[in-house]
Amino acid sequence: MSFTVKTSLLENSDGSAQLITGDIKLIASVSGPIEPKPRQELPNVASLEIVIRPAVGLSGTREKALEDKLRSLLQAVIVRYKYPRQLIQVVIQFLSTPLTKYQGGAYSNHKDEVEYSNIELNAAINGCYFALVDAGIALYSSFASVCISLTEDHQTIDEEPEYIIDPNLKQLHKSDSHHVICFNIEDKKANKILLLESLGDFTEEQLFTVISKAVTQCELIHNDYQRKYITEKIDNDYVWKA
Amino acid sequence: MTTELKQVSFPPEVLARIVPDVSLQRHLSIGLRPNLRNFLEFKPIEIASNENNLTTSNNNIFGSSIIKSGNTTVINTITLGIVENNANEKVEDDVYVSIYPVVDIQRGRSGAPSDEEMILSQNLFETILHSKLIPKKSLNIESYGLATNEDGDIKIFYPNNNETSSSSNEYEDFESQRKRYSFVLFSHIKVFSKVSTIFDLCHVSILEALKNVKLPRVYMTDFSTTKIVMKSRNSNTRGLVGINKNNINIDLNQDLYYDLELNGDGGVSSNFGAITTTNRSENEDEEPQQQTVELLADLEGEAEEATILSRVSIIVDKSERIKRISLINGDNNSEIGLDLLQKAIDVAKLRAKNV
Amino acid sequence: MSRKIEITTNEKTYFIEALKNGIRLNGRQFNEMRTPSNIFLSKDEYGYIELEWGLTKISCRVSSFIRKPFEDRPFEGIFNINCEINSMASKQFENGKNSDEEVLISRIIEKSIRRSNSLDLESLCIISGEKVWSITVDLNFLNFDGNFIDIGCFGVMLALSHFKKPDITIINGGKDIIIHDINEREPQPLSILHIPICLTYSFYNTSQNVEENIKGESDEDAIYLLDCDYKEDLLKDGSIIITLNKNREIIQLSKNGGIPIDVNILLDLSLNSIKFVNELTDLIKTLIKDHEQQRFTELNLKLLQVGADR
Repeated sequence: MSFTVKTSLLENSDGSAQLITGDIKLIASVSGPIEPKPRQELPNVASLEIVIRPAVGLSGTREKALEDKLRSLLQAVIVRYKYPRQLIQVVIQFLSTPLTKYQGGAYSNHKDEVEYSNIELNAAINGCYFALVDAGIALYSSFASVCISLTEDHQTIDEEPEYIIDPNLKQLHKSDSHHVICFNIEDKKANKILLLESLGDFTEEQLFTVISKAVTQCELIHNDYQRKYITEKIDNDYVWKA
Repeated sequence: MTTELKQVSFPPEVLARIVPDVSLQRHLSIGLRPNLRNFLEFKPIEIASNENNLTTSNNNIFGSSIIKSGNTTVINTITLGIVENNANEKVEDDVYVSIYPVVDIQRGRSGAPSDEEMILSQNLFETILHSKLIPKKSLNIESYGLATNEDGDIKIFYPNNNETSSSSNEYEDFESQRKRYSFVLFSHIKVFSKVSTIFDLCHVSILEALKNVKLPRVYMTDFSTTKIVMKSRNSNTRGLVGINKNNINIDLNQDLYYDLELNGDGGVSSNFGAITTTNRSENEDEEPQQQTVELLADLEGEAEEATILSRVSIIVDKSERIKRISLINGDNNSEIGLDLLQKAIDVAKLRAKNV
Repeated sequence: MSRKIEITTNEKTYFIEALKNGIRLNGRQFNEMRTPSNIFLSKDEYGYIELEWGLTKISCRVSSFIRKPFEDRPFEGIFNINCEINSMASKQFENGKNSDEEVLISRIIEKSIRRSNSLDLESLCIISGEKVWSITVDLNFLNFDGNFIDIGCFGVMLALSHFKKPDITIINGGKDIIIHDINEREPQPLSILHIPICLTYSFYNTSQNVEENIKGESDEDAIYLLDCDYKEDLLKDGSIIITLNKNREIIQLSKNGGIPIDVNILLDLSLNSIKFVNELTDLIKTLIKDHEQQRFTELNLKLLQVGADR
C-alpha cells in the first residue's frame, strides 16, 4: 500500500487534499465552518454536507450510498458540538478509479461494471482525513481505513485463505469477500472500529483475522503516512516561526 | 417574591417525543424496550404463501412476495428485461449478477426518490451481487423458439420439445447466426407504513420473490427488414434506410415457464444497535451503578432510531457463512467492540438457522 | 443566502481607476491571456487531462462505451459533455442546484463543441442502427479563478485529442463485433474535424454618473478585458463569448445582457482573437504530438512497427 498526498492545493477551499492510492486518484475538499442554509442548520451541533462525485458520469444512487456511509463515519469523528449552527462541506471528486485505469479510459460495455464501491469508500475516507486536517476541523481522533480482500482456495479445503491488502480490481474479481475497515487511532494505536463494511462470502473466523490484520495496517498508514504528511504540513505552515 | 416551581410530569408518550433518549434510558433501566420487546428479541415477520395471485394474474410480473412485520407491509414484484450479450463474451460459471431494486416508501405523495430510498436500493443491489446469489448462467437465454406463420396460424417451434417438423432445418440456420440475449431482473419494492429501518424486510422480500421467479420462454418472429426514416444532419433531405430486425417476444404460456436457479439461500439479515445503560440501584441515595453497553436487536421506533447511533447489520446464511456486515460506531460512548460484534454474529446465526 | 464575495465600493473604485490608467490589478495587459500551466496528460489512461490556468484548475476525462444509436439517427454516434460545478470550485456554486451561471457555462461549452460538430459523429458508427460508440466527456472544475468557459472548452478539446478508443473488428457478416484490448491492438484516436476555441471578453464601463446597463458616453469609456480572473469577473458590466477555430470561422457568439457594445468593437475583438486561437490550437497540437512521441519512445513501439519506412 502506498499513498501519495498533496495538501492545500485548492485556493477556494479551507482544506483540500489529493490522494493517490493504488489505482484510485481523488481530490477531497473541506469548507467549514461556514453559514448553512436555514434547513440544514442544527441548533447544537455542526451539520455536514457531503458530496461525492464519480470519475465518469453524473452522480447517482451509488454515490448517494457512499455519501451516506461517509457521513455516518464523519459524524462520529468530527467534534460537532464545537461548531453549533454551522455547516461543514465535504466534497470528494474521484479523478481515476480502477475501472478507468483498467480499460484505459474506454469501457467496452457499461453493464460489465461490477460494483466494488467499497474500495472507493476506503480511498474517500483516507482522502477525507488529510483534507479535514488541512482545514483545521476539530477531530476526536485520527482515523485510517484499509481494504482487505479474501480469496479462498476451493480445491484444497484446509488451506488458509489468501488475504490481500489493498487489492486491485483483478484480485477483487477473484476474491470471495472484501472488507473495508476504518479504525480510530489514538496515541499511534488503532483503538476501535469506526466502520466496517464487509461483502461477499466469509466465516466469522475469517472476519476476525481480517480485523486483526487491519489493526496493523491502519497503524502503518497512520505512522508512515499520516504523521509524515502532517509534520511536513505543520513545518511548512509555521515556517515563519523558526 | 418567589413562585414555587412545580414539578412537571409528562405522560410517557409525550416524554418520548420531547426527550427520546431519556425515555429510552428509563425503559431500558427496567429491562424493557419502548416497543415492549426483549433486548435481543426480533419482530416477527410474516411471509404470505407463495400462491399470491400477483404473479399468476399479471402477465408482466414473474415473481412476487408479500411480507408483513407489525404494521409494515412490503410488496415486491419482479419484472424482466432482455439485453443483448457481447458476441465474444463467454458466460463463465463463476460470474454472478444482481437484481435492480427500486424501493418506494409510500408516504402519500409522489416525486423523485428520496435519499433514503436510493441508498436502500443501492445497498440491496450490492448485497445481492456480492452474496453471489444469482449466477449469470441462470439468466442466460439458452434456446429460443422460432415463430412460423403457416396460413395465418402462428406456431412457435422450440428445439428441445422434440417435435419433428420441417422447420427444424430452418431453425438451425437461424440458431447459428442469431444474437445472444439474457434476462435482467428488476424488483419493485413498495413499502407501506414504515416504522423502522427496513433493509432487513426488503432483503427478505427480494429473496422470497426470487425464490418463486419463473422465467418464460422466448421466441423470435421471422427476420424482417423494416425501413426507417432518417434525416441528414446537414440538409433537409430525408431517406429510408433498411434495417434488419428480429423481434424478440416473450411466450406467455405459463406451462412453459421454468424456475430460476439460485446459488444458496441468500441468508437472513439482522440488525443490532448498542447503547450504554446505567443500572440504577434500588436504593435511590446511592450513586448510579456501573454502566454497561447493551445490544438491542431489530431497532424500531423513534426513540431507538434517534438515540442509537452505533449499529451493525449482519447477513448470515443457513450454513453459518456471513454475506454482509455493515457496522458503524456513531456513538463514541456506546461502542460495538469485538465482544459485542461476536455476540451479534452469534445471535444472527441462531436466527438464520431458525427462520 | 449567498456565499459570493462582496466587493467593497472602495475596492471597486480602485479597480476602475486602475483600468482607466491602463492597469489591470493582476499585472496583465488588457489583451493578455494567462498561459495554461501544469498540464498533465495521463500516460496510462487515454483521454484524461488536468490543467491549471492561473488559479483555475480543471480535470477532464473522456470515456466511451458501445450502445444502440438513436432510432432516427442510425449512422451517428452519441456524444455528451457533463459539466456540473460543485462547491469544491468555489462556495458560490451550490451543490445539486444549477445556478444560472452554471447553466450558461455548460450551454456555451456544449454549443461550441457538440453543436459545432467538432467531433465527427458518423465516424463513431460501428454497425448502423445497431452499435455505435457513445463518447462522454466529464469536465470537473476543481478551483475557480474566473473564465471557466474558455478554460473548460480548451480542456475538453485537449482531452478529446488525447483520447483513443479501442479498435474493433466486425465479424459474422456485420452481426457481431470484437473489441480489441488496448494492449492487443493500438487504439484509434477520435476524428476531430476542427478545434473550437472560446474567448471571453468582459466589459467595464469606466465613466462615472451613468446608470448601469448603459455604456459610456464615448467609446473610450468602455474597456474590454480578455480572460478575466475571479475579481474581474465579479465586477464586470457585461461580457461576450466568441468561439472561433483556426479556419477563421465564427462558431458561436454569445452576449448575455450587460452593457451594449459598439458594432466596430465586435469586429475588432473577433479579429484580435485570431492570434489567440492560433496560439491555443497550436498548443493543443504540440502537447498531443509531444505526448505521443514520449509514449512512443517509452513503450518502444518502434519495435512493433512493421514494414519499411520509405
